[in-house]
Amino acid sequence: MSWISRIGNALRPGRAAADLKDELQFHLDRRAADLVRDGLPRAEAELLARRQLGNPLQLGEFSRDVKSAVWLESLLRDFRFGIRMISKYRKASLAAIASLALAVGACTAAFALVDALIFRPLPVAGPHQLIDLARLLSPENQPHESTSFSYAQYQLLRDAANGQADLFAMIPGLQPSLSDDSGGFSENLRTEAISGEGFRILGIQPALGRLIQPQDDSPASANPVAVISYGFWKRRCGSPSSQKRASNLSIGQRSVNRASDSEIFDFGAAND
Amino acid sequence: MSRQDALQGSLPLLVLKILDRRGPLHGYGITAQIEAISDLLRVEEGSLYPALHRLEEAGWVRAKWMTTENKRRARIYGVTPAGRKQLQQEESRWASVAAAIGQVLREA
Repeated sequence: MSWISRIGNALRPGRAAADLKDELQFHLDRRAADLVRDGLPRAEAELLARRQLGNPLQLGEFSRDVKSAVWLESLLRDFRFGIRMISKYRKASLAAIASLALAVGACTAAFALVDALIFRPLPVAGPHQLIDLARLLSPENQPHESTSFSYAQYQLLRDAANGQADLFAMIPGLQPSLSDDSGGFSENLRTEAISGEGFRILGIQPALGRLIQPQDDSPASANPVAVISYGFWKRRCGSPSSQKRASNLSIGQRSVNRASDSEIFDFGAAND
Repeated sequence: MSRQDALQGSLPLLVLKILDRRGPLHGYGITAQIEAISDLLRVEEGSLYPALHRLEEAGWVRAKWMTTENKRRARIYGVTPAGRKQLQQEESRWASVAAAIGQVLREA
């Protein structure tokens, strides 16, 4: 007997039980008939036949273990019982289901955050090689770390690395407001400033246009540029071909004409 | 030794042999055949059906519902090719065990 028939028997336990009952009843009838033919009264013959066969309930248990997927059968029974109890105690069930849903949702949200921030490697080239530089300050015997460097310090560090390491600088948390040149909309953005080598070191490719380059570091640069995230680009600028529309946006006083396909900025975009 | 004990562990062997020799039979037919052949052996009927169902599960016998001459629905068991192979193995195993026990009884 295959697993398929076992599962079939589990789904229709009534039928398998009826089959077994038929089979045993046939045996009893034939045995009783033979005993009657040997000269026993019918009532006595039936009793003797039953005694010889043994307890039919116990026989049924043995056969069910062999012929049916018992675990599936009891699972189905539990399932039906659960449904019955839920429909009997609606309010209590609803409260239990709602609190379970909330708890599961909260856990999922917490995990998604932890996953994005900690478990998933950053979508850049060599995420395990990234190092965050900090320096130890000890004003009035209260030492603490600082990750702020002046631009001059950054330049010194970069040159001191002397090809052994690549350095770039970022300033997080600038919050200029965004507006359409035609006055269509405006919103607050989360932006970060990055030094010219940053995108190259992180190995990020633009979906369209170009990224910020070392030449853009010059304070006298005639055309200040910004890179917008892919998500923001799609949300605000419509179809991927609308580079023109993107250039109509103004962030602070800078014009925008680039889009990056990196997800790295989507952490910020998610807050928009 | 009680009569049931004589059958201990050998019931599947007897069932396979009967089905192989006499062709497809229902459970009561198997019991009757064993009893007709041997006065000593009496099938413990309570263990016959679980044994049959285990043989069926193992693929050594196949069962079919059929209607008997007096219009009763009966479950008829027949031995499969795999069951025949199993029967050969069991038979030779039984023969060698019996021979070994006989030797010990004679020579001890």
